[in-house]
Amino acid sequence: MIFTTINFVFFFAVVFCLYWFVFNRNTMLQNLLLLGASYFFYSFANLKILPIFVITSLVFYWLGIVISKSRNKRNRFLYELAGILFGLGALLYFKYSNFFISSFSELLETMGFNANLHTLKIIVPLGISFYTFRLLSYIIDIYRGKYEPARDIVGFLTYVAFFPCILSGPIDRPDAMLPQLAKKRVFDYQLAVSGMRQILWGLFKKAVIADFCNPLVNNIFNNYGSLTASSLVIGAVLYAIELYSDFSGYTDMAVGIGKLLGFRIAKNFNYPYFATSFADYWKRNHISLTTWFMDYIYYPLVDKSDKLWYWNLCMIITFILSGFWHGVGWNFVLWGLYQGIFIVISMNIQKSRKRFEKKHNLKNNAVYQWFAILLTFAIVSFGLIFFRADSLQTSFGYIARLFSSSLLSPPNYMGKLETLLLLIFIIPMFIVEWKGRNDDFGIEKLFVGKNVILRWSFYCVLFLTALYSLSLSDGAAKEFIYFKF
Amino acid sequence: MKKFFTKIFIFSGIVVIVLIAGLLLPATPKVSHSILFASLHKDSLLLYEREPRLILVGGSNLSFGINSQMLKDSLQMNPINTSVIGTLGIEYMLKNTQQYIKKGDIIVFVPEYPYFFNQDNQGSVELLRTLFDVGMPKYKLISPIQYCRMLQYVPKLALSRFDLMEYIRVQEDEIYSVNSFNYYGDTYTHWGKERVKFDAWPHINLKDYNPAFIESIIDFCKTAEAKGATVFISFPAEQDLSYYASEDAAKMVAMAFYDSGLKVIGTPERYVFPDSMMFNTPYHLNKQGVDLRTERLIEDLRETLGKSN
Repeated sequence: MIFTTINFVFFFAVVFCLYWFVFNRNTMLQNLLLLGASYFFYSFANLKILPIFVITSLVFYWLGIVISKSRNKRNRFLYELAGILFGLGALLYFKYSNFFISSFSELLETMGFNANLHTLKIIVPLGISFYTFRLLSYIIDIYRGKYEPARDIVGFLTYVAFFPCILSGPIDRPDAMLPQLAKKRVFDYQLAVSGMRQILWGLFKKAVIADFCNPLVNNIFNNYGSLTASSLVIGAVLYAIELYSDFSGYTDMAVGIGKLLGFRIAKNFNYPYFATSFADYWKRNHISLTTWFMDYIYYPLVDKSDKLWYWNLCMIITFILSGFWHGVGWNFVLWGLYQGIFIVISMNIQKSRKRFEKKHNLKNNAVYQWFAILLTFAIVSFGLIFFRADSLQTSFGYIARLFSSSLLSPPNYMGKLETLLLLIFIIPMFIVEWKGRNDDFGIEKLFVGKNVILRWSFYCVLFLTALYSLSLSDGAAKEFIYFKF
Repeated sequence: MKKFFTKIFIFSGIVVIVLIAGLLLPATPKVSHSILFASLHKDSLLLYEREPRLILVGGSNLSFGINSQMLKDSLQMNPINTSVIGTLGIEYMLKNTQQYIKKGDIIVFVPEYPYFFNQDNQGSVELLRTLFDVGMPKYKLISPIQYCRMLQYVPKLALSRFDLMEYIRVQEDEIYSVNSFNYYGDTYTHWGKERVKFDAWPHINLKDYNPAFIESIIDFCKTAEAKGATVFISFPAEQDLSYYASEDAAKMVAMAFYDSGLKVIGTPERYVFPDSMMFNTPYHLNKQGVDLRTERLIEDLRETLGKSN
């Protein structure tokens, strides 16, 4: 079920009313309702994936208890290892087995063998990458003694399946969510209003910006061979905007829905395109995933080493794994490598850059800051070509053409007028986000405490524009990009 | 909580007001040349055309598939091709025609097969646009269930009135335009044009069969006959590949016509045409196909009318 469909609106309206008017007597009832609603939401597209999800959750619930109960250090480690292998094994099997089979088959063929390997007919459980990471962090943290395991099975299952976050995160940590699930939620007007605003902003970013960018980007990437380099530059920039609007739009809606149910979900984006360096970008972008990789991959890899080259290597490995987590294909691995290399460069020049800024008094220089922002955005957008391309070959083809002599020729792709009109929405979106960059989301405090007519008119324009954009697809709502990961 | 719901209610109210305002605004320049506006001329023909009249009712299969001049010359009747687009739905087409029936009218109704296997008859965006773009007086012809189904298209239509592109990019389509019809109501601007590449239609799932529309056709026939008109049911012209992919569906529909005692002329197979006679969809004929289909319809009508005389 997609947030932007009428099905979801009805589903959520029913859940909301039951949650606050019928099941509001105690925590257990509220959690039971959320669990039932989450399982319904999860299995809406395909009921077959639900048992896998429930069984996996129960296994991790049990592992959490046995790790905690076990007094023997070796046993604790073995249980933790079993959990990691089980979680990663399921992820590798469902998400990557066909990739490995086809890659191996191609390798054998290039070596001259006649490989006749068949791919498997597997239904990939929705959100598997997200819930696996949530479950892994749970048992690893219990093993590390960070917190006690959940005893309340309903609360635990609700945490894993919580419907606003199940499909594409944010990957909330157990210590952030489980205490909230253990407490009775009381309706908080301010939180609910903030949630509505956040949903509205997310809806606008997804339905208007991302969905309008999508056909233009598809057109450019599908026909890159016949387009000028200037068109390809526009394609890469539009894709960067589409990806951000789509994913941060989804996240804003998920967090907003959480607020309506009385939860505070972790912030996943902190205006990444206003980052002034690549390292800064990764502190602001997909925060819950980045911190997950840092906490459970990078820091354990670095351990107590004091060698800079080793730190750098670990960072590159971490980002390659992050690329592989994102998608099935070598282009994602290359995207991860690209991120790793640039973050290492960014971190290694940080000190000298700070000295340079101090020496030339650039810290508060707007021109310098904007140059840094645009440079970071350019590096990010270029890297996303690997992320968007269907294959490694396509990404190389796109990049090769990008550096051709036609860079100075006018763009020749279909939809130039649409792109110009799209700027009517893109530019204000970034202005709003810039103004609200110190807040949780773009419009959190915009026009708040000012003229109520102005504020409500603004909300109506956002909503109606989004509604119109959604209506143009005649009910065939476009999925969020991160659903496929 | 009360305050929260009050605000939600007020916000929803504002949205509804904007949508209603959008619906009431005139059609945008972009849609003012739409084929739906052809129904104005067709309705005036239904109202004023002299007897003896031959009224053709159906979807675009009929507007892209008939040469009315041939009908006029052969049958010595005044043809009125009322067809615009199939998604207006059986119920609307029949109810609209019903208003204008006169004694002695010969009506040929050509329902397209998919009508009986989907829900488009219950309200489409084209029907909503006919109401609000073309003109409001048709609102009585729409059933409550159609109104309910059309609700989903209200944002699209209402908010399109505020869409800048609807005013900037105004280009009249050569084939799908109010000006693509001749005096009788046939689409003719594609005659002599190159074939456009298209795919054959997939198999129609028999499980989706909805016989309810047969009842609507029977009711229409009874009303028309009470007014002194005669109604014949004919079959749509279809590309051979698409027809044979769903032959069972076509036969199922034909059987339902026969079983209901409707006056059926011809057979589904008579209106199956080779791919070379199609224009841009498996239901739209080119000029060669149009002429052949019209000849066959003339033969079927002559045979039936001859018998009844």
